[in-house]
Amino acid sequence: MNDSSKKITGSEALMNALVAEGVDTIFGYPGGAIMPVYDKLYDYSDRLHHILVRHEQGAIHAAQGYARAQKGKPGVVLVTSGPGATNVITGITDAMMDSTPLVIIAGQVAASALGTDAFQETDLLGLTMAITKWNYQIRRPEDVEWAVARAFYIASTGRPGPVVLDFTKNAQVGLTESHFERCLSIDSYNPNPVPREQSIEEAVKLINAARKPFVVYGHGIELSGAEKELAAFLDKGGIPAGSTLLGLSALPSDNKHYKGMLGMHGNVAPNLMTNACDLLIAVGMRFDDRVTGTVSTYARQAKVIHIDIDTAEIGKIIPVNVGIWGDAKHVLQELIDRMAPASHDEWEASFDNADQVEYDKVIKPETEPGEGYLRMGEVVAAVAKVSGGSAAVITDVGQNQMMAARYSRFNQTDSLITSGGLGTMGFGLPAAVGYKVAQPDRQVCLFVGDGGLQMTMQELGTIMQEKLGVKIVLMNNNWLGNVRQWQEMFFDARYSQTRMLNPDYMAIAGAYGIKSRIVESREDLLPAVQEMLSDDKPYLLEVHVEEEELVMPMVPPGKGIDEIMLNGNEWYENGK
Amino acid sequence: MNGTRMENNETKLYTVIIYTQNQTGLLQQFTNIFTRHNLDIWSLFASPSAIPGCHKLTIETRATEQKIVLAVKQIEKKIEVIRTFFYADEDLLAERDNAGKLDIVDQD
Repeated sequence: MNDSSKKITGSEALMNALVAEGVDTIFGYPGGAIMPVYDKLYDYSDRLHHILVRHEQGAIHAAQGYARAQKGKPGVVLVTSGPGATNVITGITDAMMDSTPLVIIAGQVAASALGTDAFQETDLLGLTMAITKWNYQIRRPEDVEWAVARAFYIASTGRPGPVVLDFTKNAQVGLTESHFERCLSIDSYNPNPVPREQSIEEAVKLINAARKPFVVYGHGIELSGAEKELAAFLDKGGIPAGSTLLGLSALPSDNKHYKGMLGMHGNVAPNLMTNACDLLIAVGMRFDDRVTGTVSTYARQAKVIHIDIDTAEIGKIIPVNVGIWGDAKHVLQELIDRMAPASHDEWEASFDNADQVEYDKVIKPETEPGEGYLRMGEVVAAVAKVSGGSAAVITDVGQNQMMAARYSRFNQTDSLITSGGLGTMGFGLPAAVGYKVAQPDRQVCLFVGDGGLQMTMQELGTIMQEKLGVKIVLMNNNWLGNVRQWQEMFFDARYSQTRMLNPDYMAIAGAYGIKSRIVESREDLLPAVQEMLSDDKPYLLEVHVEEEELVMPMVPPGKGIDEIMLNGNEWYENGK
Repeated sequence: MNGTRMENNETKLYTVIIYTQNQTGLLQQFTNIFTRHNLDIWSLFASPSAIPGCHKLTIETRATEQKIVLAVKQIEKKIEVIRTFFYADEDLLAERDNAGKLDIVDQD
């Protein structure tokens, strides 16, 4: 009997397949229905580093942070059945919305017990059908390697996404021969669409004819690895560009064509340009409603080119003149090769005044207030200044997220990790754990609020156990800040259930052996940030910030993307 | 969808034909998509196709053109789906009418 015909358990087949797929890190939490796999993992601890989180939600958000730091390499999650599996549902949905490649392996009761309401049985396939790119129940040990290979192929190709493998206990312990083969194609699945020649030609004609072109780009640039092509495209065409939240680090913040962030709390100029351009070129983005504002008034004056690897996104929200189904890197290179060199200096400069107004009325008061309570913007700006824009920025969700997005500076790609589509509070801390595991040599800074931190705060235990040098910047305003802002602005300041009584975070950090410091005065901020970033050890910096701060500018809900509030009662109007 | 601004709210009876590889739970995935788009399934028929290993689902639903296009695109994203077609009965009849085949019932 040769090695290839030697019988192994389904659990060992899983380990072999994971190693063959290049996996070296797993985020997980053991339990009854996955114990045979964990038992075999014991034998593979030299090849598979298992990060023991403190809650399964922490495992999946950490895997998301890990995957997004690895550019296409799926994060792997290992959990048990029942509550272990349902605890990863939020993260699966988040990964689906933000196109993050994950392979989630969940234990399941034995196939013979399926449908009997056995202990910790849950219909994971049914639960995750609508929130996964693919899911599959492994009922026989013979199917393990096939399913794992297919899962990794599907998760990481085309538009990436989460894949769930529901692994029955009998398949874990049953015997099978090992014949692992990587999946290289699936007949019914086309992850590498070839752009139509006619569409490329039509796009080139529109680009060459445009007098006021504008590029809006998103996460697809980083997923595609198209950062250089995007910069070259903007250079050759002399085209200004704005980024979605998830695309923010795809271009260096100081790129001369980069005009800022799009959307509800984006910069004034790129939002205005959206509704003033004559050609809107959308690349690797999906026209989320936080980017478009009211769709009925969005870029109605412009012709629209939409480039996306997911054909279902093209025309879904915004009707297009030319839709190009293809990978952003490839399509942009095709366009660069065929388009005429151009410049649109006058058009690009026509919104300098809007930049100045935003700086005078929003940015400067936020980042250099000089007096009064500390503001979130100046905290983010201080970290950006000390880190030189080289830190990876992880955010939670809410005001901390918008401030981090607005005032961080980036000089490397894949450097802003945030929950965009789903907006999952509690995402930040475990995502920072995952990012630091993937990129141990990078400075990793988490911006988080007091609400979000308390949602997944137990992962401080993971940081302690793994000795991860995550820098946690807690911007504490004693409110659920973003909801409070909406209550102030749109619900007559009726603050329903948004005031928070906070614990002693210094004591909590101390309990986990994490160095910490409170900042309450402006003079103390920069020295504290410098101290935090002076080494590679975990650190909790709690900054007491202005309690009733508003994130501005803001496109209020129901308004067009060019209807922008500069503060609580002042609108941007005609360059003022 | 390219080049058009679809604002026609007229609903029609559409027939959607989905060719798939066999996979447990696929039908539920399709019905999930119809549910998300608030589309009632008027009839549903599943059968093997003439091609070995290839199954065929035929679903009838009433929808606007915009909704049926979005739903069909999302159906086509499913990994096991090989190809999806859709048409409105009245459009098909109109095409045949234009082609001069008025008596479509008694073709034989």
